[in-house]
Amino acid sequence: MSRRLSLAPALLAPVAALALGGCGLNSIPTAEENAKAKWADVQNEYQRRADLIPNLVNTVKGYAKQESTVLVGVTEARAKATSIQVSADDLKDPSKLQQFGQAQGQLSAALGRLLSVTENYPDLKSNANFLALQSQLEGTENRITIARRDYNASVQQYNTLIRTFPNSIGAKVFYGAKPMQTFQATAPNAQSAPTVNF
Amino acid sequence: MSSTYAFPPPFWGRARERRLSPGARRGTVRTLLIALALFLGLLALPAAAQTFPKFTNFVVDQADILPPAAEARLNAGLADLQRKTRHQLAIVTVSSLQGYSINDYTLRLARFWGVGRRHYDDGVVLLVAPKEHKVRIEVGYGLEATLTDPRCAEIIRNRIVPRFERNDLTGGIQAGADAILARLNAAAPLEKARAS
Repeated sequence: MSRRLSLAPALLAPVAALALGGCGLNSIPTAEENAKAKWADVQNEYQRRADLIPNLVNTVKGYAKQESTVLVGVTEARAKATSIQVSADDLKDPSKLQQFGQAQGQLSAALGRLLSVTENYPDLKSNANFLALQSQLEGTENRITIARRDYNASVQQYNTLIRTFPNSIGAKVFYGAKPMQTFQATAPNAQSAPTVNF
Repeated sequence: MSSTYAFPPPFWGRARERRLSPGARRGTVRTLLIALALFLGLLALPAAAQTFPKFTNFVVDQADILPPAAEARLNAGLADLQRKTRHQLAIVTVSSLQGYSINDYTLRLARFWGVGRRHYDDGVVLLVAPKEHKVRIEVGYGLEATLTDPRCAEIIRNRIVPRFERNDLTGGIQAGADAILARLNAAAPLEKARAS
């Protein structure tokens, strides 16, 4: 009798594992880690853009010293944008993401002004270094758009997962899971990365 | 996509015969046909949102701008690239971007096709949209150190666009493909870079 009783937990364990597996015990953390990894991509791409800026500012300075207001504006916006970092644990806090988005949006706007000013300097526009930097900047803006879209998709997946049956049970009981925030571009023209026309 | 739902002529023939038969059946058939048409319409709507050409070969000339000889030559070069380096370069001409930006369309197409090896992400897509006058080189993450943004921009600016402006689409695509191929063939293989 006692032997039979001691077997019961051993028999229950796989059943419980199966039942809990259906409650999102694994899929919820998986989806959350996926979204966090996608957010790291977003931040990496923004960092990549920030890393290009000092070189760009110096190159433009060589041809267009008189545009100091625009140049200073870019440098300041860059300093402000790089000072705001959003860690993976802050992704459920809408205000942190908004601050980050606003700072990056201001940097996008400052960069836009800088690039429109360069139109007046034909020598600069044909400078090999400037052309290289410009294409890197375009590519990075495009990668930012992609990274942001991938992040938002993964957040949507996670949020759907924790809100739908039966995973919603596991989400409440085991993880107290809260929805993550999507990340929207705040600059007016941040969506449209420049393309090449022929 | 829509052609899948077009009815072949014999069906219409039979339906017309039936419609001649008397009584309630006529109405039933018509109602059924209308219901079917509505249902298929619902099915067809989301399917029409974004469609991609089929990945039939390294060169997919949907816009039909490449002469067969040039297409064969390109295909041979791209097959050779895959044999030697295992990277994939796909060259696509599309008849329409379907309202998407070229960046967006090319990326979605590259992901939809799965160009390049999954774990190396070493696919490259050269996409030309003659209708929209756009061209793009989309590079997988694994090859970004080989085909950097400035290098791709340089290829588009100096090799492709000048020929396109002279209305030489074939020449532009060939020159662009040759430049990309030269670069990829000369680069160190990814496998070695990863092992060290």
